[in-house]
Amino acid sequence: MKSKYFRKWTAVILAGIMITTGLAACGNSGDGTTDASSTVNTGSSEDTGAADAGTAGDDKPDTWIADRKIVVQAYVDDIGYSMPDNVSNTLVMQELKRRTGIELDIRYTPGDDDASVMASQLASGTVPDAIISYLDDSTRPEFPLIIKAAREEMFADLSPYIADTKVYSKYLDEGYLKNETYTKIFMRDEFDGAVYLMSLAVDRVDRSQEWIPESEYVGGMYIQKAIADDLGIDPSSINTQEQLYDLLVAIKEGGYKDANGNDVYPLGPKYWGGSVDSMGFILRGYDWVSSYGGYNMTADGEILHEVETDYAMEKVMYVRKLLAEGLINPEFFTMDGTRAEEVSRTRNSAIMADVHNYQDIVFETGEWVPLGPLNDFLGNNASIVTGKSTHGVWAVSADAENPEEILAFFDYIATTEGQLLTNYGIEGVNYTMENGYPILTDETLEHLDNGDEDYLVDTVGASFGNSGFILWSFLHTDVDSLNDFGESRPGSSLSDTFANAIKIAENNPREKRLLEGLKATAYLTASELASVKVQMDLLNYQDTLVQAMYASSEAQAQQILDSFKAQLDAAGLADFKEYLYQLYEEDPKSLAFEWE
Amino acid sequence: MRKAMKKYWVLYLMLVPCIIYYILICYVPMGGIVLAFKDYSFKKGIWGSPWVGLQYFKMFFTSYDSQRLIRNTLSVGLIKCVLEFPFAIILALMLNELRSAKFKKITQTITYLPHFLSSVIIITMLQRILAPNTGVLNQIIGAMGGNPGTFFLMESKYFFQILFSMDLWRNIGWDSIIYLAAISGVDTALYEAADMDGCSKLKKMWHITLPSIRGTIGLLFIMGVGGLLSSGFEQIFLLRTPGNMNFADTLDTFVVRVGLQGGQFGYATAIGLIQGVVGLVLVIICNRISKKITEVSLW
Amino acid sequence: MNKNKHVKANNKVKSGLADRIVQGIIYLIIISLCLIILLPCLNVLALSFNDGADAAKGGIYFWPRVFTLNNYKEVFADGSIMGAYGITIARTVIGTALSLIITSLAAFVLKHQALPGRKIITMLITFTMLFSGGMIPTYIQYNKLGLLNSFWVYVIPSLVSVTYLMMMRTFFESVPDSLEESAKLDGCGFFGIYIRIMLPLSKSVIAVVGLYTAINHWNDWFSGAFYMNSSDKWPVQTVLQQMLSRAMSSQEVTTVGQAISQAARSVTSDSLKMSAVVITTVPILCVYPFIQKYFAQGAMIGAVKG
Repeated sequence: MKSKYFRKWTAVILAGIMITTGLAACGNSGDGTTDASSTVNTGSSEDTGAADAGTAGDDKPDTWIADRKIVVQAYVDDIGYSMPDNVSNTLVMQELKRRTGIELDIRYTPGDDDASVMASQLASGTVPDAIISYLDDSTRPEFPLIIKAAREEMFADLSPYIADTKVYSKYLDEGYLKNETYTKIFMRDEFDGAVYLMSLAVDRVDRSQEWIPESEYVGGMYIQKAIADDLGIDPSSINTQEQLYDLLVAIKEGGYKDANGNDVYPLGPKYWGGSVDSMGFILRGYDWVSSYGGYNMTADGEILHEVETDYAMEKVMYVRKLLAEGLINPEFFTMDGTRAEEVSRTRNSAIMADVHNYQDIVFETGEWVPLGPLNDFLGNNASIVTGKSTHGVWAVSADAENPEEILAFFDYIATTEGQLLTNYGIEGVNYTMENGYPILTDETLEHLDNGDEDYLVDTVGASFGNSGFILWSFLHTDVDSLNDFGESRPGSSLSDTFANAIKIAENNPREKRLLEGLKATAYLTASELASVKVQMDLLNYQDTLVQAMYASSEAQAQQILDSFKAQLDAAGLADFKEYLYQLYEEDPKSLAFEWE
Repeated sequence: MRKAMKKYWVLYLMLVPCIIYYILICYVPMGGIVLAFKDYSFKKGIWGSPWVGLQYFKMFFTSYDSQRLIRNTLSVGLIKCVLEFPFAIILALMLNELRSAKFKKITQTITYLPHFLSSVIIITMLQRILAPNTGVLNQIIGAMGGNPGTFFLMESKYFFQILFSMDLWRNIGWDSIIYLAAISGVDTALYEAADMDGCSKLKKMWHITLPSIRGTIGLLFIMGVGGLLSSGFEQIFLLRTPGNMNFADTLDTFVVRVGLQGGQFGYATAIGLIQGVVGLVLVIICNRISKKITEVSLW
Repeated sequence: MNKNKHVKANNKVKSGLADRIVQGIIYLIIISLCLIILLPCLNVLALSFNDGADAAKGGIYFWPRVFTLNNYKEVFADGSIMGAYGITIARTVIGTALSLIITSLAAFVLKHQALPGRKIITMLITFTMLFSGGMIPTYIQYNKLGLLNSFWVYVIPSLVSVTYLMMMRTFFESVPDSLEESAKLDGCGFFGIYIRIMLPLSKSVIAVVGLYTAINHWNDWFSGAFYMNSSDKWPVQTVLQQMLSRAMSSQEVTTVGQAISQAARSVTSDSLKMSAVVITTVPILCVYPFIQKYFAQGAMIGAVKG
């Protein structure tokens, strides 16, 4: 029975629901609830930010910082996967606590991927005392999120305390950090001297242009040694696209078979699964700027995207030819990891497009040798380096108490003493000092060689290179292992496991050359380009190239490339180019452009 | 009406946990839809962030991709809700005709097995089966004299067929459970009467069984449409190759790429809102259709 | 139930033959379907019993080549799996029980057509099926409610599902009003009607909704991955998901140390993954046959007349 009363009551109920909803949601949803459960500093005076505690010590070691807990959220899946069952019980953590008074509560949430988790947690303000994330350079997907958080003052400004640190103060020295790290991450102009993000894994000395076999990995194409020998070729002499093509033809004509008696594919997928990024190795000669086909400048000073040049079509035609002639595995770009490993192990691929000398199939079997590398579009064989690399970043929450203590703690981990403890474990138990260098004990070495996680991670809790609890090696910076510890990783001077890998590196030295500047897409994070970035992020050039490679006809392939160009235009290519021209005028070195 | 409400106060009380649930878990976060009109700032939170009006909607609809994405989302949704739908019913009808109860139980258990396998495993298997030259499907084609080199996953024209088959394989057994239960509840007297009249099996199915489970069919149909928009983003994501990427891209995958990873929360929420509106329209339409045909409707 | 004797009628010959053909086709289709479904599953099983290194060479189809129980041993020895099983079972039992209670109460209430506001409440509930605030507002809300990092984040967010609610409501609607009327005459309140009349009649729908809810709980990997900070509170599906996706991620490698860890990561063999899949799937598969009899018994939605 519909009556006035009925409608009135319904309205009241609805209104009630709306109001409750509104009120509940109107709370401070930006509540930063940090878990900094720091106990009060017990008495001993400590200088703000100094790794060495101040005087008052009584029985506290020099390295004392404070008696507190630091909660850290790591958005690094390597750390998450190597997490001990109980961090506080590990030998390393206990010793750290003894020396510095700090106890670490380290957390990891897997989610779909680290960037999504970071987005959720930052957005809901559940950031604890500090966060750690991957960040090689400003083109990583995490970067926009991190920068957004920094801009909105979610992080503490550490600049007042840096000068007092032992290690991180080096970041202030000119030339210590490479230009890109310094200007885009550490000391951004827009922050006016404030420092929020601390980069990690920076080498003390820039050896990026040297070839040091113990610490080099040889990545890229690898060819079956048996086939190379049978054809009588020297793999390192294959340097041009034509030579590669001829080699593939020769392999096909050689009629080689795999372990199951099937014909081999001359060119097979990357060891860990089909991927578009393998193009970087097999099509290097057509990459118009040595960073996966992006933007570059012509000799006439015009900035273009690779799709606007002939190089795009050349790449497409090259692979189409390989496909048509059966010289490449059709599933090169899409094969899943398991099957890719299968075709590699059964030697169904004569050439693996991408693997490295530390993968067991290479150093254990000795069946594969490095091929190439191919020259780039300018005819250089050397690979591009950009100066000192960095791998991660950390930041302190703006709501954390006494951020200088957190800085001091991370600083201690980065000192030689700290690196020794967290990488090697406990003196006497895991290593002994001989001639100033740590030598792993036999027992520890055995655990290391066997990959015994229970011991390495749960009991000791040191990083042992990257074989233990990776948190520590991730947090190292100012790194110079060969000089400090006599070897590039714990146990590498003693153990035979990777002897073959090092040999491969010795036998296949590669040249390097320095190219300063970033790829153009790194600058899409500028605030003026926000809407352009959103659109452009969705366009995938690599995928488009592959799509064109598999198109049913050449005409269709061209059409696909043209349509990509149209999409770029629609996304704001013109605006982006304008920005780049301006940038280039102000500072040519900021962009990694090269031309003939 | 006050009298009516007093009369029913016990019922309202029994409803309270459910209402609290919906308010706290569904409606409060729903307030976050305003993000679609705001430029989200971490510090200021949802309510403090500045308004930007319809900016994101404009950005989406003028972008190159919007038509394609909407078209794909609808296609995938239609495939899942409309095309697959009759097959589960047919399977249930067939299972009902099995004479041995044991055989029936065994086959039922087998048919719903795939529902439990995670998408990752299924896609891996599918990759193997559809592989050019080495895959089972191509080998069969080759043995029958055709060209064994077709790379199915790389050709966009096969995408929907592959998606449809995979989804059907996965869900047909599971979906048929309810229909089978409904069918087994049909009054046997009706069948006996039909036998007296000499009805064939097919006729019995069409005239007796189906109408009897009309209610179930109607309800599940509407509910299926409601779930149309959360249409298995993971499957599409995993099946995607550069070859079929024109079709293997829906609003769902788009939101993931744009939203969480890119930090564009506002934009992603706007897309989610569009999805919701489309879904709402569809549910309303289906509700009306269902009311007419099966006399079951949501409201 | 449908074992009918073919009553002789005029067209009995024709219908008899037609029926047999139809029956034959039915058997054919069902058996083919079962094969298509079973074979890939056998593949998973075979791989799980095969030695990892051998499996990497490929060629395993329906039978293990190098039989081993090692994969299973390894999976069970991994302490985190057993703990995760505990969490999964706990959440399935508790979550399903609570869901059934709240959902059935609500369904019972909503079946009363005379209830003021019924239509609006139903619409509001259905509305939630289509719209949601999205990932971030949901995350923020769970944070406020204290659900993050707590076991309850597995139970509370999925307490009521619109689909199952409507299913139950439709079922209750099919129960004759006369039953309720006579109970009222005997002095039963609504709650009494619910307990004494509705519930006993609804074994089948409770079984269905219960099973579906339980399976959703069992299969959910997402909650554990996003809302739990510590891996000791993960359910089994999250652990599995991590195992499967771990080998799929590809980080950029710039140092030897990273190269080594990448190499180590890619070693989780297919066989190990398969055995993990098997042990997370098998338990729930065993549940249905037991519940099946409840499905078969009793009236289902819309099938009872008067």
